[in-house]
Amino acid sequence: MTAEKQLFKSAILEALSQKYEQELAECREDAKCSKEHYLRISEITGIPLARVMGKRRSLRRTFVAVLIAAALLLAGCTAYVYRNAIKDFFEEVYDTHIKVSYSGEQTDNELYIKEFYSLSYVPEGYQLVREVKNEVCVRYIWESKSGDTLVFQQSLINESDFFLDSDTEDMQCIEYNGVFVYLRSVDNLWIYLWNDGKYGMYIDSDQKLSDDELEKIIDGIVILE
Amino acid sequence: MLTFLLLITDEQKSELVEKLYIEYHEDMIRLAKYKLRKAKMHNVSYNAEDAVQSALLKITQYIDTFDFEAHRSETKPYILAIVSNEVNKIVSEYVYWEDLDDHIDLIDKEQFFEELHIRDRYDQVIDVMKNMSDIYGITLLLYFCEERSPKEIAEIMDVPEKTVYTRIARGRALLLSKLKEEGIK
Repeated sequence: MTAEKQLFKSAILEALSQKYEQELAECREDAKCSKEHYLRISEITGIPLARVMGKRRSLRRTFVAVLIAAALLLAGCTAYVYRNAIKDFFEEVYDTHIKVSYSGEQTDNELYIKEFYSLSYVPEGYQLVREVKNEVCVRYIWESKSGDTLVFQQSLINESDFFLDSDTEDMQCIEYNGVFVYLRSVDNLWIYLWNDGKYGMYIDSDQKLSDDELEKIIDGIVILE
Repeated sequence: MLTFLLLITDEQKSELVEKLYIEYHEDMIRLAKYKLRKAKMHNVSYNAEDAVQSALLKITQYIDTFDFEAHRSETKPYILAIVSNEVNKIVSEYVYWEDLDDHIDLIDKEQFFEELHIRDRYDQVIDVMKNMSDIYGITLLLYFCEERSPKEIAEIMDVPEKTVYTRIARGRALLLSKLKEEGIK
């Protein structure tokens, strides 16, 4: 291909990229879809419906019951110690659910993820099958041969709201080396939430992680080059 | 349905399709809704889902012939171009565009590159192309960047092959015409 043709090819790509990015930036539409749409996507692509609806799974797993204050009290953590140690959690309690946020304004007003985390340790038998990495969300999915999944997600603290059922069964607050981890199980899915003051971390796992495994995961979080 | 599933038999291809879906589905839906609403269409959500389903079908049909991993920077505009085309079909906008450019003199490929002077006006080319109709932008993308044959482009865009040839020629001519107008300004 001549140099002119190569340049023209680049120009077309750049033009359409800019055009679509501009349209997406102007766009106020959401990405909500009907269940029928997901079914059809699953048929077209061969992706299992549960994975096509992965985003909905994400919503479902955030409907997990954790009463922060109660969890703190049950685990012997005090709110005073927690708030002083790391970013505050803030909860708004409603009749049907609880909204949990990493509260307060970030001091440096982060709009984008600048340090991308990953796990250097995952339990034995898991292999990385998928990753999504962009400026507002990092997500890795590992899968074992038996089909169990483990999901790790890093997000901006000021963009991380979790909507939880108000059922408070099976919730715990665990501390590892000054990190407070909220643990909850629902429908055979184990969910772990914590933050390091900069980013919110989230894990869900089909198998309950042992204390040792959870500690290794937290200690093994690395910043990617 | 079985025919479509049989297109994806290889595990690697399935993983790639899934990766593309996870990475781009949201933008595909949002862009489709945006364009449909801008075109003042009814049933925006339903039509957007329809467009995205058709686009994914097209993408999976041609997934063998595009190296997404090697051409990551091209993937997003390619996928969104396919969605735009499906939206255009729903809106039926393209039907009305074919006659508008009859006054433009068509030129051949070599003459096009001679007159384009892209080295001197790369940024202007981008600006003009951004404002061109989707049907030309998508056709030129598929022809020059994806190096699809007119036959393949016709299948992707669901138009006769002759229409593809016309759009390629008109797209080039329109680009030069607009660049000349910009130059005069």
